[in-house]
Amino acid sequence: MEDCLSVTQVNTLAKQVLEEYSVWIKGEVSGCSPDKYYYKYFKLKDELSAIDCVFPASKLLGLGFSIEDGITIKAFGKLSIFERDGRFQFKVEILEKDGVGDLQARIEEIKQRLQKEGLLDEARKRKLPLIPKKIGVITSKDSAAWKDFFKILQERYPNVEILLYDVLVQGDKSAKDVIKAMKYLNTIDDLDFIVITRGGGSLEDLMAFNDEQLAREAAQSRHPIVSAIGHEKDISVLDLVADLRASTPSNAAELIAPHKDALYQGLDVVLSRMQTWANNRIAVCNLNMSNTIARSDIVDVHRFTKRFLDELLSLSGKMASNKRIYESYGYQLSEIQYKFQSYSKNLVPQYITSLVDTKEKFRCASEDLIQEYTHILEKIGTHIELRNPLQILEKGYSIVKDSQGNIIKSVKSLKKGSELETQFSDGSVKSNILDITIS
Amino acid sequence: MKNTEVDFNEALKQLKEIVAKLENPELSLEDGLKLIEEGINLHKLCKEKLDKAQIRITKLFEEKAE
Repeated sequence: MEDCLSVTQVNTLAKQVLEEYSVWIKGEVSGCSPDKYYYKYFKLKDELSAIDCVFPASKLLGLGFSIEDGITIKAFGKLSIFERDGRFQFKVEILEKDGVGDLQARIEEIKQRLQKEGLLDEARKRKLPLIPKKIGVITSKDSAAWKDFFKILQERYPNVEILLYDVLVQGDKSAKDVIKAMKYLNTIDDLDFIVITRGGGSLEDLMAFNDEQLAREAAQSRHPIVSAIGHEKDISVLDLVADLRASTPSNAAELIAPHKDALYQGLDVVLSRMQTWANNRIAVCNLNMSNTIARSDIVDVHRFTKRFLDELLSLSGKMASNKRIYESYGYQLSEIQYKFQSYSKNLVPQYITSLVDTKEKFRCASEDLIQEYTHILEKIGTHIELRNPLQILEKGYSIVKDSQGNIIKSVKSLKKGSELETQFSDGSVKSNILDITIS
Repeated sequence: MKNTEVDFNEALKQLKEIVAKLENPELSLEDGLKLIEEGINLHKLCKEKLDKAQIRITKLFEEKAE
């Protein structure tokens, strides 16, 4: 067990061994850290491998160029191990620029080729429907990009159906995956568009979306393509070909659908337009109604009723004081009443049909009338009570009935010899008819 | 989704058409009221759809092995 080393001892030893070598390394920069720390961290890459590099920030100003993703540099320094994590790293002492990075150059080449063919033209870009119903999303189902996209869309406009095609969004197979997904989604007829999204990463991470084949597939896609790759600053070849480019996955969710609040507002506007229309029309109808009332028979009915009422009142006054006068008016009274009833009966339906829309106003108007009519009829009722037959009998009148007890109103219903009963206020007599004279 | 249900987008389109028709000064009161009745139903339907909406997801998976 004495031969056993501690982890720290191994790392220290390895570091000592490695640091004996100083080398020049050429590679493309990627995954740069911000300039705000004591050390600048980045990777140097070639087609197959990468190495973590660390460079003192104090030397940055003296470089004459900034270390950015995509540039190719030559670096001189010592291979080393970061003891705490046992991480292999290259401690850079000298940095020299070596032209634009290979990856960047390749991307540039692809862009120019596509541009020459017109595949990047603005005119090719199709408009998305304002309100989507069914959309395809190509992304990794476990990615932050999908979570962000889903979250924002759920908040803004959840009334959609999504076909989520899970793909690898990084690595060599990624571009092929995405092409396959696009091909599949393009077989679906009722899709509004296809969103292709992934989150931020280094240039290498995003390389799939700079794939020429993928860009060409997107350019000839049956359904419009929305691309949302990486962050604001990352512009992939796919972004350039896509019908709509969103800066981030969240931004894609914002661009593809309206906010539901805007739709609610729109619906309220529609509702208030309908209300305004109805109100305006009702106002017009009310005006028509007032005009109609002003010049129509309804006023005549009203006036007629008033006059009728006055007549009735004076009649009833007279009736109360003089039953003879009442009797002579009795028939006329019911005649007037009948005429009045049939007059208003004819009028009411006529108004109801012609003034459907102003029902309410009409109802008020006719309610007033009906109230008055009811009032009149009540008055009439009172006077009918006043002519209680018993009171009449006391005043010297009598009631004549036939043998069945029916009141006899006309001699025409009588026969010679039939029996009559005459009722007085204080009793009755039975008699036979001796003779009948029709006057 | 039930096929008999009126689609939200379709309902919204019909609502817009109704509003456009109401702009016509020749429109009779009766026809207008019919349109409004229809419009109010569509309006209600749209609101309900928005209120209840949930994203519906169908997951499609790439076969990982070629």
